[in-house]
Amino acid sequence: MGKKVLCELCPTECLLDDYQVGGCRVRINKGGVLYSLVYGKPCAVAIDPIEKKPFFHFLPATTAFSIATAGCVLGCKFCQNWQISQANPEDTDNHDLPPDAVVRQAIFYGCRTITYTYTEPTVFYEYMYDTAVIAKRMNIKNTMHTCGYIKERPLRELSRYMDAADVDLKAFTEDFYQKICGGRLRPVLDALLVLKEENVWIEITNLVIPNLNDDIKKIKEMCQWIVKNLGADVPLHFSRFFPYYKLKDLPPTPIETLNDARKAAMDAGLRYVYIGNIRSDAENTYCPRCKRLLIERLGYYVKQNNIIDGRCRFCKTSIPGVWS
Amino acid sequence: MQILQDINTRGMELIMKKSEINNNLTAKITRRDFLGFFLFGGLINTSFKKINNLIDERHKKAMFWRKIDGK
Repeated sequence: MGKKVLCELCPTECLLDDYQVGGCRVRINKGGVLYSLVYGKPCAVAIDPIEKKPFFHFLPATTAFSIATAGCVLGCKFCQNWQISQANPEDTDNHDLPPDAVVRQAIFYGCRTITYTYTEPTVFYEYMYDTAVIAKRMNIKNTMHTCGYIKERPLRELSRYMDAADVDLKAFTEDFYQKICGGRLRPVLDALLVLKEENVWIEITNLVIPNLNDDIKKIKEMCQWIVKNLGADVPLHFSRFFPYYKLKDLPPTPIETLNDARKAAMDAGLRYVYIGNIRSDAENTYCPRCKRLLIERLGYYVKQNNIIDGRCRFCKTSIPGVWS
Repeated sequence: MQILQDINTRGMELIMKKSEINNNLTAKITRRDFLGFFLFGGLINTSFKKINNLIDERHKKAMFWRKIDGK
């Protein structure tokens, strides 16, 4: 009798022989049964400001209990966490932290949110799912920072417990996804549509890399797609690239490129466009109607917040987001 | 007098025996012995870690997969 299994968690759909590990490095076929190698074994545990994830329209000035295990569905050449995302689980220093302990610690440290982040949370799906179920019961919010490389069925199931997702939309070409990340663009766009249907709060991050995905025309196309399919109120974060991992030969993103990208996004109709990794007014939230300063930020620190009950304090315009 | 001498002799024998036992217990450990124990302990520790990683009961059954029947 055959012992092959087909993993149906991410679009890679690994077909695994007996004792073969999937491309993510953390799922293994043993005797015709697929197991997770990282359940309850995070290699990264930290408490971060929610703004670091980055979530700018979700419980500002609160903290997120953040966890990650080894492994990833992609192999991005610019990965900021490659030491754990591209590692095998037996090569990382892992904690023993079952789902209920994650929630207990989040409550103990006064965190309003548990965030599944650093590496791709899809790979520790079962751990994330079980933790999210308990967290929801205890009135702790669940958020994730994901590349969106997950199939529809598991994503819909997870969305029942997920309150917000920051999705890395790395570029708007299949070529970039294939050559630089080892994946495809289409499944990420499909995942965004599913999250929208399931009423999960979405924020999008785009790391602007010189010479690879900084074409303003393509950025504008991406923003037009976001406006058309997800709405003009989805916050978009442009992040500045710094040479790292396998792209040390490229320069940091010029500030002008980021400013141009932000202008293109706002011209396309997006109302909340931010620039990350640099200090500027583009870190702040402004009212789209009266243009007054709503949330002033200095890095991850919130200096002032003029959103009251989800509305601009000055002109009472409703500001999209999760504010309480 | 003889009895006292016998008691004295017997007492000396007991003291000498106790002294031999103490000497065996307080025998000096050499650097080689210490290093050996240290390495042995490390070997045991590493072995148990590897064994633990292989125990199936610690791995959670995954979600979203299916078996492929084949030859």
